[in-house]
Amino acid sequence: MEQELASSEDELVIRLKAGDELAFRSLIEEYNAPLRRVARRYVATDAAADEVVQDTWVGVLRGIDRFEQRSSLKTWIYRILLNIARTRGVRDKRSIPFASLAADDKDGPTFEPERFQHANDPHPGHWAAFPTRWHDQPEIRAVGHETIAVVRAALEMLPPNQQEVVRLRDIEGWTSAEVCNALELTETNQRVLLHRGRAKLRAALETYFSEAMSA
Amino acid sequence: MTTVEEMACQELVERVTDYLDAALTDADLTRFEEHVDECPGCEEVLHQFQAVVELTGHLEPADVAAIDATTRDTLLDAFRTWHNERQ
Ligand SMILES: [Zn+2]
Repeated sequence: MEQELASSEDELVIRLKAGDELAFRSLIEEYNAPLRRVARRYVATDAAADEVVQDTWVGVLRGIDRFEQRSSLKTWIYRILLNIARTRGVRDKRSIPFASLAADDKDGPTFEPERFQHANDPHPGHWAAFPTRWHDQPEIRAVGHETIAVVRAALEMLPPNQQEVVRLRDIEGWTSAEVCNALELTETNQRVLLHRGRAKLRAALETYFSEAMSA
Repeated sequence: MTTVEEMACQELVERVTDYLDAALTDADLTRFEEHVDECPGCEEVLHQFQAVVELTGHLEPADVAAIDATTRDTLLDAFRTWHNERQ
């Protein structure tokens, strides 16, 4: 599988170097939207983000002949984007280092402390009452559109960094290493952001199902 | 008595993503799995996180904004210019 992926990327790079328009088109269709979201974290306006992404694609075209595939194509494109976005962000006096925001994350825990037994209870740190079971509700298994709407709404409410990591990992299917490379996050910070984000989606579903089940 | 301290539910729920990413140490992995085997509450939470990941995966593709036609055409023009200049 890895070899297949590697060889299809080799092929894409060869086609790009050869000036194959369809190869470039598939690249921009896949990456333009996620690049734009990442750029938006560094610059003040949507228009500025669009410029950063356009400059990134120009950088990709200018650099593709010299690209030696020491990193993946995806990582290389994101590095170009981040360089441009940071320079632009500094000029616009809006530089937001991704990693430092991650470290500053002051979110609460996955479950409120009241959900667990306290120090002088029989089993400190264990459930005071088990969480309600909903993971095997028919609506979950059927991927009901109401359930999806709950997840979508909760995703949109996530702080930007958590949202970006959840999107890349769980919607766009990136690996942990790819996200860390592209966003210059440590493995630990990346997993903290991912877990916090998923925890909020989980909590939104818990609220939804507890209301649905008590109705 | 084991020498390994048990993982409490409160700690376990913070380690679910580490578990799903295979990022736990061998010792923590054992503590995690032994706990989940015996604790219906934490087993449910693990399944809930798996359900969240699964459902989030279904947001594609309608919720991932595609490239708009104007941007695409501008970029394809840039591509053609680049391609012609390097001939
Ligand atoms: Zn437990």
